[in-house]
Amino acid sequence: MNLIEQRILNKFKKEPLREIPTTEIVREVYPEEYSRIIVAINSQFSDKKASNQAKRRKGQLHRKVLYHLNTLVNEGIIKVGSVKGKGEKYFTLAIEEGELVVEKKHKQIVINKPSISTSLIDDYEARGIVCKFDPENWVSKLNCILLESTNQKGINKFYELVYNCFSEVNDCLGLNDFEFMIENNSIENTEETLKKMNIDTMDYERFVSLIINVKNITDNSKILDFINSFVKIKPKNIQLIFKADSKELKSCSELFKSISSEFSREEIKINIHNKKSHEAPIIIGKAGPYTIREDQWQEYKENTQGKTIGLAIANTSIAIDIYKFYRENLSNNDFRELIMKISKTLLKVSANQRRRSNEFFKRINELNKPYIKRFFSYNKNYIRFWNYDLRDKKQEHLLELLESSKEDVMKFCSTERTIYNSCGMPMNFDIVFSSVFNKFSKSLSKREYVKTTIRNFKDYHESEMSYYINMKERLAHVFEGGDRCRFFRKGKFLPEDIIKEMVFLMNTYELALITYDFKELKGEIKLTNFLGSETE
Amino acid sequence: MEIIKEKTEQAWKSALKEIYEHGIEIKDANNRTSREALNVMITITEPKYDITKPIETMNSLKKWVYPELDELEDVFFKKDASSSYYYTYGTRLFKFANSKNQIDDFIIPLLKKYPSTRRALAAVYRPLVDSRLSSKENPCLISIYFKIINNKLTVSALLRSNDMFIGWPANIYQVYLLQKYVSEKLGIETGSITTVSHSAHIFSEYEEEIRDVLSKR
Repeated sequence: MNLIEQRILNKFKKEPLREIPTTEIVREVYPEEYSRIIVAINSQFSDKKASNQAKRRKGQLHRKVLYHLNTLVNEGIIKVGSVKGKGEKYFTLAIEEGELVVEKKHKQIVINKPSISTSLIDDYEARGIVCKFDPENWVSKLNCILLESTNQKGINKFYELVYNCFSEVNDCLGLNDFEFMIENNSIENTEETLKKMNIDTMDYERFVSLIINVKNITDNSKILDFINSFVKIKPKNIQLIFKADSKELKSCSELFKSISSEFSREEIKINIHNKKSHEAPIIIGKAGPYTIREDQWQEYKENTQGKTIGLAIANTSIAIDIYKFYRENLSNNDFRELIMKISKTLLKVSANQRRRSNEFFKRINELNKPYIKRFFSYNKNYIRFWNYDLRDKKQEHLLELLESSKEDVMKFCSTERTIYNSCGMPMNFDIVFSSVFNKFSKSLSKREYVKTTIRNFKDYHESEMSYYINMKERLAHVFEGGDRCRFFRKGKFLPEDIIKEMVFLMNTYELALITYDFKELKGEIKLTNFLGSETE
Repeated sequence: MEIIKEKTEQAWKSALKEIYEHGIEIKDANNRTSREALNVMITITEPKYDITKPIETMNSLKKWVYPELDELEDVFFKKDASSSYYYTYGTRLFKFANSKNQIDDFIIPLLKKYPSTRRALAAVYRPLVDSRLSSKENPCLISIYFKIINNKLTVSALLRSNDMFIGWPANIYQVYLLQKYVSEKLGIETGSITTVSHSAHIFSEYEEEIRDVLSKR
């Protein structure tokens, strides 16, 4: 057996459940040479010639490994699981489960791929009612990680960490207290990092939330410079989230006037995280929003912050397509039963993940030593809801149903934690509810949602708008995993109007994440036809 | 309280019945109500015949998901710490304080060399780690004692806190697996297993299921 093929297969032997990108396989096959190449490409001391030479060599290595990967594909040993970003192939074992024996020229490699039992929900999945997020990497990757900017010495070092974490998650990263990075690095350096991040997030199909804690801002001009860079680059998969209360927002009104003016002109969303309603960071991913519970955030701040690279926020997501569920005339009892089946499935899946965690999260574990367990302490599994319409006759009790189902799920999780604890395997297992963004999966039902449009301040007092906001407030208690209330701002307005509206919303309602979207609306329908789901 | 039975299921049910009928009602730090008996000693003379029966009963209740047998075994014998569990008995037994393999490097050679020894004790509790006010997750299993009697390996496990309904079926299964592992290495048969639980309790939230289990023949 060829040495390159041996190294490729050993990589799959170590991580039989993962979908592995070509770059990572190349890194595995040529560990030393590849790291030398990366240093040469990224080093500010490399001249152009050396950098180009390194890029050429990188291309050669990729082609060489791809040749062997294609051989293994043709032999039916591995397959292309997906193609992401700029066309990077992700490979996975061709077998569903069981033992794979590869024997070539007296060399034998045996790979075991364990099964992940999801039989409880298979039927619902086949009918399109239930949908897993990124099924290929369902167990082997985390959904979302929060990284602390203040733990890092410089933006280059920090970006190295961010880049490494792209292969540990399958959805998004939240960079907490990012104002620290902006204020402590030159704008040229920060802009360069943002450019790199923009390219890498698109290549890896990952999302990043840059969380700016308004209270910590000491240098408005540096933040403004960064905002200008952000507007210039207009990154596709990166969002800015401003965390503040209404007083902090007002005290930075000049800064926010500029932000409103720039972002509205360029049709970039403004995300305001109202910390009065919810203090724990909120991260916006492809699957939906992510956060942790308030008491856990306080506990993390007191005991862990600064000791780890951050915090694992979520490990798996399953969505229920409410529209499809009710289309099949299923009852409320069926709904509760489905929620319990999903909960049991998540437990079984997490058992599998737990047992192989040292294999799946090897790099993450290294980065968090000696506080590995603390990093994973508050990790959640998500059940997300798509395309619900609280005004539909069939769904008129959905909110109450969600509330009682949430209680059932909490009880289930607590019982399981007790069982595992009593069996000498104490662990963290938790499930939260949240909403879905439409990029979650292509198989979700088509939605006829209404975009909640604001043309002037009076619109907030319209009965339909009040209904929408009140409903979002009630949902916020059910959606402990995070939710977003989005407004579309149309018509003529001054930047100060936006600030006034934001302050009003923050002071009047218990909404944790408020998003202003300035995009042109097409096909808007009235709120009376409102389908309350989220869209990205 | 002392219970001696031939089979695992008989012993389990007797203990549940005793605690259910005679246990003292108490409220713990987490505000959970339980019935408790102190220093409950259960001896099973022939555990090998039905060691998994209590786990099968727990699974049949379908209200929850009980850990799979292979997960219980895997975790119990895993030497390396896992990021997913706050602690595991496996790490404590096979890599105590990140260094000592108490079973392979002490218990087995000791019993091989001195079959009548009274020193074959493996500790699970680590005072330096566990005896801290801030510690939230402390192991329930404290130690395991091995003794060869009539050329059979008997095992006694000491537990500080023992949920007799939910935890004991897994605890006894894991202790049995260790007994089997050591006895095979020694080339002798397995004997009885005794558990001594300082606080043996059942939680009131499971009383319905406990009644259900006790009513089954």
